[in-house]
Amino acid sequence: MDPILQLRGVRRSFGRIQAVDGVDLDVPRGSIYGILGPNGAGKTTTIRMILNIYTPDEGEILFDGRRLDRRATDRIGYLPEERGLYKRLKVGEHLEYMARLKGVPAGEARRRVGQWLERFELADRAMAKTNELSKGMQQKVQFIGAIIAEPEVVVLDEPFSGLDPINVELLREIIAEIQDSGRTVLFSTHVMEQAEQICDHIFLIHQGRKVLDGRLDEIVQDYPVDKVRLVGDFQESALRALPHVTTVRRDGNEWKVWLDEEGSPQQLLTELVKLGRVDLFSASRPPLSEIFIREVKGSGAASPPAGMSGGGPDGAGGGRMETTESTSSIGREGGMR
Amino acid sequence: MNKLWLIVQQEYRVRVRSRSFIISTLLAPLFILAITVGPALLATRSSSSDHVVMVVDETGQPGLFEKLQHIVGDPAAGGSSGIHLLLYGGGGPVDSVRVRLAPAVEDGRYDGLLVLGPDFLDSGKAVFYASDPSGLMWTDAIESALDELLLRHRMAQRGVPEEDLAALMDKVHFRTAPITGEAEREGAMESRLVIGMVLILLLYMMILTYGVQSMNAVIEDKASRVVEVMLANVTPTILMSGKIVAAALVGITQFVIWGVLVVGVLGRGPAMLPAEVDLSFLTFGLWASFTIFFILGYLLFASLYAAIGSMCNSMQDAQQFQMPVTILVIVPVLLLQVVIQDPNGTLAVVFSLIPVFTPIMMFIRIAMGSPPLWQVLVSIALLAVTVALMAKLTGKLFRLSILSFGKAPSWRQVLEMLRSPE
Repeated sequence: MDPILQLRGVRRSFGRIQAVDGVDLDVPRGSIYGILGPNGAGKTTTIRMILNIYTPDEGEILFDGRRLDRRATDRIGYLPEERGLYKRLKVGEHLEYMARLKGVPAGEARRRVGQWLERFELADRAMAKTNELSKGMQQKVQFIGAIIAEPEVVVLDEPFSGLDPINVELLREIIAEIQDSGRTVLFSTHVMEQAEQICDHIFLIHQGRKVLDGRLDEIVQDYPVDKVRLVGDFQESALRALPHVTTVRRDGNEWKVWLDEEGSPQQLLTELVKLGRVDLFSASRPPLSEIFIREVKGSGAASPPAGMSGGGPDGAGGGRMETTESTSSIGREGGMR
Repeated sequence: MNKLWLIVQQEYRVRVRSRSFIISTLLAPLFILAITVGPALLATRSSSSDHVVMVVDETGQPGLFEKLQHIVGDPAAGGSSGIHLLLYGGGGPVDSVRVRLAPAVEDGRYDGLLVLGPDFLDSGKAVFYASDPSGLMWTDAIESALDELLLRHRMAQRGVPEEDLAALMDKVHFRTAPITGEAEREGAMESRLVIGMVLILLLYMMILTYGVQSMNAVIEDKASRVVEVMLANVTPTILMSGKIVAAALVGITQFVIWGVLVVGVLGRGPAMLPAEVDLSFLTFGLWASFTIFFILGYLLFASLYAAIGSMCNSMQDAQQFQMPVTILVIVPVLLLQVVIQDPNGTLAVVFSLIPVFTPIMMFIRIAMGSPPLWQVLVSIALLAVTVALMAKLTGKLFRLSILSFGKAPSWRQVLEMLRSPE
């Protein structure tokens, strides 16, 4: 791995509050790295340290192998969560200023401003004062400000909030282009669906500590299939009596069955076939949002499904999770009929 | 350094083209003119504007009225005072004349009625009737004209020849002059007072206005949240310096524009300058001290104001902190009168050596008197040290509070911040 950004035992406190408490992180060059965590977890503090706005109390941050300094921040673009534009400047002037602060020469800055405004369909607003724009437009201008200097790393803090679907699509397109050109995107959000769709790596932070990090597909892989949807001719009591089954719930004509750690879908299927006809069998890994909730609730403690077995199986945010479930069916639907 | 320059450029451009800058650049000279030259101008204007006085002469002395006209400077007698005397041609007792003319005086056709009784030349008794006799300044001219008239009459009575009168009536020519023997032209003290006052007010206004502007610039960045992006590009110190330097440059620009305006107006020819205005005290030393005290005074207060800005998210927040600082700027101006009267008195010396008061106080002393050189140098040295210390403290406050968007801190929290290690 060729990390563009490395955090080594980074700590930062504000008064008595330990905002970031010993974080290690490697961001591979060319990745789209999601920084996830509940509110107040230390995401913004971490990001601000990466941008050299805060200096860590302890630990160090390396950019491209060297200790992060002011020169490095010229190569990092930033879209903060708190959006802001220079009210007294025109849109074009503001963007030009942002580009020049990162060291882009005046002429080149002007050319790029024109290009980007064109792409975001804001060309006719170049001469408008920034405060005459709608919220969504302002946000697009801010986004352009973050990428206009073509930085090697782009840090985007909740870039999609407040954008309509068309512009969300445009942003995602541009993020993909940045990755294609070998550059890196650091992306902070608490909307798990977005992270799941866009990121290839994630970093989960809670109470200032790293809970989880790595390649998204590997993380998901690490979570055993623990939930099975099935349709068939079964009695609830019979299902409950099967080995390794923790919870059974009826949902319309479907059954939802949760397994404990030792349980596996294959073994369940074998048992089911003995029991009766199986019309549909679908095993799924937990979606990121569920992993997130588990990890945060357990604060990184072991036994991911622990939180699920006790109370209501579908837990908090269950309905929302369903929509993005990463489903891997064993056998083909209907093939078992 | 490059980025500092970029910030200064940007801030400067935005401020100089703003409406408030253009308006204040044009209005301030008018304002200063109004409060300094205005009253004096008004005073002379009202005494020189035209007044019409009806004179009832009961003395029976031939030629008395014409003499009075001459002395008072009536335009009808070739004078230039603007006081027009009319001789009342009718007769009758004074009281009835007064009653008859009262409406004309009331409605302003005449500004007054001057009655010289039959025994005027002996007793010197004269009465001036006006619609509102209180606070009339221009009647002084009539009174002194009557004085002179009476004196001339009495001397003539005692046989002094007419041609000796002028010599006898010549008054004392009293003037003050520096003991060093330098030539001090007539009116030098007055012009020094007026022009010195303009410079003092200018210094005070520039320090206050542009100090507050650097505070506002910081608050604007915070309120619009753009500050976070800025801090991802530059250190807080550079941001703060950029704001302060830009505001100073805006101030200097304004000063230069005013200078050009003044020179443009006055430079039209010496005719524009009244003959008695003496500019000889506008030496290089005075301008140098103006520049030094502007720069140091500005840096002192602008860094304070910028630090205040960093702690606040709105102008309202800023008020509680702004107040004491503003008082520090104003105190010397409140003491202006005292210091002008005694530029080397204890009070003036003490205050001019207290760094926060030095910029304006010492400049008042330099403009209005000649303080010992050692005092000037010591005050500048103390001030420079204070500016450096203040920059350190305010820079720390700025760094610690620039990214806090919550409630403005209390005074106690400010002290804690100053004491905390960074």
